[in-house]
Amino acid sequence: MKCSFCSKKAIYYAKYNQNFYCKRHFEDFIKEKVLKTIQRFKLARKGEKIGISLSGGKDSTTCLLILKEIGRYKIKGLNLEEGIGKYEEYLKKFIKEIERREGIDVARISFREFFGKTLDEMVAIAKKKKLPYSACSICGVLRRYLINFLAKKERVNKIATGHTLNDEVQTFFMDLSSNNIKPLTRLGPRTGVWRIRGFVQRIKPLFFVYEKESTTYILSKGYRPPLNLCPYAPLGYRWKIRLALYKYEEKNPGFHLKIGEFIARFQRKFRKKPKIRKCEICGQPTNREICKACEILARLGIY
Amino acid sequence: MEIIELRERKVLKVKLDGRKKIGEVLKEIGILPSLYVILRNGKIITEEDVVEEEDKIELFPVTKFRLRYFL
Repeated sequence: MKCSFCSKKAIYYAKYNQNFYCKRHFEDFIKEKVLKTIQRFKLARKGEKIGISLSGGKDSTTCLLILKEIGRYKIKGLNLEEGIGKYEEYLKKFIKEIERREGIDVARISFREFFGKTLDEMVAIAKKKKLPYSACSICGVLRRYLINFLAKKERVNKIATGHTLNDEVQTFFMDLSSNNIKPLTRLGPRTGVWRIRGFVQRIKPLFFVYEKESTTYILSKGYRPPLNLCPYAPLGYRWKIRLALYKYEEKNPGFHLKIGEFIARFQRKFRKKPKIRKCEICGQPTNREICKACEILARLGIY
Repeated sequence: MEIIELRERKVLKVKLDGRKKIGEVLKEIGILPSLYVILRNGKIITEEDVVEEEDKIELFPVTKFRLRYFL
């Protein structure tokens, strides 16, 4: 098929606007989409130092490539090494390739270095002690804690994550189906709509980018991100919802974009400033007496 | 025609009668085209592109699904 804007071969067909895009027009289209999201939701100002939470997966890498190409921000990679057996080796190798090819500086910190244990070791302890923590619940909480620490250490103004439109819409329906209203207000292009001392604000520049667009972008740039799945990745209810949403999008192109718009408006309308205090153990900001990270570490017996 | 799913390295053999859009071929074998970036001889094509019997197609997954979810 030919590009809708020139005579070159198309690499992407956007059903929701019925346009075909060649490599050049596709990359311009995605960059423009990201820049519009940044400007519309005031995600970052020109010259700000943006730390990209770089997992070694396709979406965070696409986020890094696009922000670098937009050229308005200082870019720093932020990488956490959780310690997940062999799986992490592929990701580390890929991040090194990005560093080399893009000339990007990546700051790293590991779970072992900071918490004294790898994620694999923590999961084993939780299992032995019969604690109600899954690998993902430990990883999610500690990752957020540690990425905030690393971002402050590197003095970045914002942390950009690679969340795509499909991630956001899936989470929205997960919360909706479990009648969970509070987290709904935390979705949107900015995680934590309020600036809170001690927290580096997290932004999602790919908020309106489909994950197929994100994958096409990175492949069109000549990268082949690793396809290995995290051994802890749950493929249950969450993925049934995602598959159902994919099927719905197939018949109703643009469905995810409409829900994305709704989420962004919902967040602006219903946001509430949380009451923030200092964690009694680590002193980091939290809305509880003891932050979730310290609670997990204490129950695991790591503190 | 040979279709290779790149995560699981699974090879699917499809008999093509003439030329057909790759999106239609995938739907016929139960695969949603939007779940993959489609490559022909290592180059990205769209699901609207027409393929032939001798084409070698690779599917690069855009998400964490495994093939067994829909095959």
